[in-house]
Amino acid sequence: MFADFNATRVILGVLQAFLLVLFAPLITGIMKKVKARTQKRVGASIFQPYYDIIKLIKKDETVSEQSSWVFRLNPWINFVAITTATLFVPVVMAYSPFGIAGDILLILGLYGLARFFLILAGLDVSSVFGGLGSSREMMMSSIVEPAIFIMVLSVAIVYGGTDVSTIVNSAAQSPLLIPTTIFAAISLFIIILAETGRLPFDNPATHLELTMIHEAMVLEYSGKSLALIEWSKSIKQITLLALLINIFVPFGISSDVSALTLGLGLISFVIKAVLFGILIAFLETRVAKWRLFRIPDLIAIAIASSLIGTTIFYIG
Amino acid sequence: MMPQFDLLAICSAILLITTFAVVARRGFMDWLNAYRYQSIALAGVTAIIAFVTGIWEIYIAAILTFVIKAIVIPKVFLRVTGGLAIKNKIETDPYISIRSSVILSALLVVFSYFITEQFPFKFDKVVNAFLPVSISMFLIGIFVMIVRKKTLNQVVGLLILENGLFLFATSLTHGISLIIEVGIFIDVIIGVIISAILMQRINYTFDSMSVANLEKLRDE
Amino acid sequence: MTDFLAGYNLNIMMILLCPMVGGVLVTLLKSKRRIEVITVVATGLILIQSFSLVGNVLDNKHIEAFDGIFYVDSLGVLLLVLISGVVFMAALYSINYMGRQYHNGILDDRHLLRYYQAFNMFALTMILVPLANNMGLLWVAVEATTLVSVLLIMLYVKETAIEASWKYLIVATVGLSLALFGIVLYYYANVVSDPTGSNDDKMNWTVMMKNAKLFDPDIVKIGFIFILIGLGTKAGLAPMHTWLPDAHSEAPTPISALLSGVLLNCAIYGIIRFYLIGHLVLGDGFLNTLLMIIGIISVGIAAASIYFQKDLKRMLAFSSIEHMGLVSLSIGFGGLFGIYGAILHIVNHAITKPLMFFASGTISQKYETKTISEIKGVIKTMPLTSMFVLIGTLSIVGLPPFNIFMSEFFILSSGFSSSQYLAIFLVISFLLVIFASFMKHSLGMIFGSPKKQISRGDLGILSIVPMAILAALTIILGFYVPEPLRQLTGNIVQMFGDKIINV
Repeated sequence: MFADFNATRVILGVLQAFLLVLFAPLITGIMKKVKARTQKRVGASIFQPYYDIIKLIKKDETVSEQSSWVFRLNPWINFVAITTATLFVPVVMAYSPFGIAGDILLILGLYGLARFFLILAGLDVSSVFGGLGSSREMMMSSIVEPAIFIMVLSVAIVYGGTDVSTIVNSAAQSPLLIPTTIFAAISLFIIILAETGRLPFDNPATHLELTMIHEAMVLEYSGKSLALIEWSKSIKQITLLALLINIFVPFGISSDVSALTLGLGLISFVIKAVLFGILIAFLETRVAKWRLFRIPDLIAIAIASSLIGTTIFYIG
Repeated sequence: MMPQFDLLAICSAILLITTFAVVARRGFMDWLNAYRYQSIALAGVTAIIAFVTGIWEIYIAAILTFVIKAIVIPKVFLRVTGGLAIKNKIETDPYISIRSSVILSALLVVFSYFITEQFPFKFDKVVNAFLPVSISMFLIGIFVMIVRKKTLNQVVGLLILENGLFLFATSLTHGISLIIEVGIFIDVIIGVIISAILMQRINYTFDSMSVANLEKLRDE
Repeated sequence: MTDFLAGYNLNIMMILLCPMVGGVLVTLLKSKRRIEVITVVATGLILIQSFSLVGNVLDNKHIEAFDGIFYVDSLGVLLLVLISGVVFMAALYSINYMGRQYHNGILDDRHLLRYYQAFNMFALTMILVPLANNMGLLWVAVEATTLVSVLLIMLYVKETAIEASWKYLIVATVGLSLALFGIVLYYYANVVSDPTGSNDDKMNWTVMMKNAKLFDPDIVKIGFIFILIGLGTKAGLAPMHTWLPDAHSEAPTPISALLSGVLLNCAIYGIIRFYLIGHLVLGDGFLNTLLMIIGIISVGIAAASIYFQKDLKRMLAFSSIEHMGLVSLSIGFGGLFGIYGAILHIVNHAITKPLMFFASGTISQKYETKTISEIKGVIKTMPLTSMFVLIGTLSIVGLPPFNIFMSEFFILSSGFSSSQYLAIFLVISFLLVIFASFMKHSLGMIFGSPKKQISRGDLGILSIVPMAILAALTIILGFYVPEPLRQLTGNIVQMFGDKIINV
């Protein structure tokens, strides 16, 4: 698989990463729309996130005098880290050409980097909300991380390695929904909700100090910086969704470089991504935000789920 | 590539997930629904085993499971709990916190997979898929009964335990004879009704459904 | 179906029908006097029927009926006689005791009706236990006794009774689930050992005994552990005994007598049945060690609890734990004396413990308290009852010439003959503690002078008669074992097979 490292594949790999970056705000828009419709509202157009980004880029930026370089640099670091991570994720074809440079652990590491700077930036402006959001985010990430690693472990032992391309390739060839992967998928789904700040972990639609985590950290941003942060948030969300889709429901993914299979892969990916987006949006209308101290309960489910998955693989 | 489904594995996953729903959720309706779905899955599993072995009595057991456990018992519970205050229906303060119990239950599942390995059983596909699941349901049922304070939750734990036992008997030995099966079902129903009466009495007497009230009788 | 009817046995059918018909008639007739008479007559008929079954068993060794679902051998018929005897006594005693509660306004008509309905059902479920050949049926019957007795314990609407019945329901049901787990394992061992033929009768005890040599020893080991924990919970063996003192002390006194006197024996009976199968598979050693350990723990915990006890009925409940522990220990010792002692001990305990409960019920009705320190001078207020208390106490702590001395003597000598000196040492020291504390509590109650003014006189002839019969049996069995009982125990010892050689 690694032997045929050629130009076509590299270009395709870059293209699919590019696709993710471009496509990301659209999924956010679709989710917002679905949420609005299920709440019997008309809701904004599904392209609203693009309009927001464009509008924000045109606007002037206000930066607090007290803030340091961390605050100014953070949006860029975030954007670069998260966009880099997309390069390692197979999307349309079951193979990412940069697999030799990094695996699923690198993706998590990049996200960790982005998160680290986000937390610092939240503290940097020394506003009350920033600090509050940062401390909540730190607490969340400290409990989410073990869950992620156990999940990765259970996926890795099932599909033989932490390299994303290897995982996706062997997933595409094994039967769907064996118990181990069912449990790992539950785990990853909960983790995605936590990582992207959806309900019941965090409410993405509010600026109420009692509930917000992510929004509190970026409250001081405006203009171009805010646009970058919003965009990178969308990209992170779709990247994680792509991981979930391609590891656990990989059918339809293209395993060679012919136009037909690539087209099929693209179509099936888009359909699945939209379906998952709709699912999450539905879920958000069904559940309420949980108290911060009950969040570990949910993470505990993720950990337990991966643990069971691992066990079933070894002994079952 | 077309997706392939392993029906047995999916059923066992459903059974485990519904068992965990009882551990992880705090509200009575969640437990009841979990129990209902679990019973439906159990009836399905029983029907599969009946199909595999071709013993017609197991079909009857499957139908009985569906009727009694998925319909009658939830109905009884809904009727009993109809007039209860909401504080009596949720588990607010268990002896072991929800998150720890989730992790511990996962360890129980690991343990039961491990222990079935050690048993000198004759393994076939059905035994392989369901024996560890049934033992985990059994253990988690006992666990729930020990760590929860609300009487409702204890009874749900008991029912989970009983489901595990039923699954154990059915998967390992292809069902014990029908008369006994019916006897056990009758015992379960009567047990549920009696516990329902007792719960109402506890609620009436103590104005709460917590077993933490029940500590008058002890030797100093 | 034809097979089912072909193996029909009038005796067994009558025994099962009596409490059923009794229950129905009680429900229909409702008036106090009538339901009392019906219950006494129904239980009396059961007693007569089971005596005639004894003759049958002594002639034929064992009876199978209804297509092998029911099977009565010496062990079963012995337990059957005990159950029906104690049930009859309790029915007699109930007339006085429950009647008094009724007149004092503690119970109303509805409660009394419910009491007698449940009483008949309780008798039915207990009788089913020794008759069952199918071990699943045995389980169903034991679980049914739990459910019915919970109904009886929660007869009084008060906090302690509710607490006791909830604990009892939960602990016993969980315990019995474990037992069913073990029974299924035995059944599985049977199914695997003989793959040919139908599985319908593989749960029958007789079939299990027949195939036992082929069982997988590991599965039987695990299965027996589960059964010992499960039925041990129901038998009140420590450390699964926590529900027992509560339930036995909160129940109406006639029911306490049934719970302690015979229901515990039903569970022990189940353990013995599975022990017999397991013994064929595993031989001496593992099973005996388990039984011995659990027996010693039970006696020890009972000793500690009796010493500190303040409540009369709780003290008697703990004493039941002690005696069940002794039975378990004795089976664990094994050998001719061990088995003989265990069986005799079951019989003796089933006679003496109801006597004690009846007496304590009468006393606490008179003194309107169950607290030991409040009760003084029973000999002055109730001369006859105090006599019975004295006999019961002396017997239950194991003094000669009363019956329990005899069985305890056999138990201890079996311990010596199997050279379990440590166990013997522990048990004797526990028994001494129990002896001292029992004597202290009982003598304090019997002698002295009453704290407050209490009218002289025993409570009614119907409360005296059952106690008198039981007291007479207590004394007679102290130095004379009747011929039928000797034959039955002899047969039972033979069922344990090669054990006799050990002696």
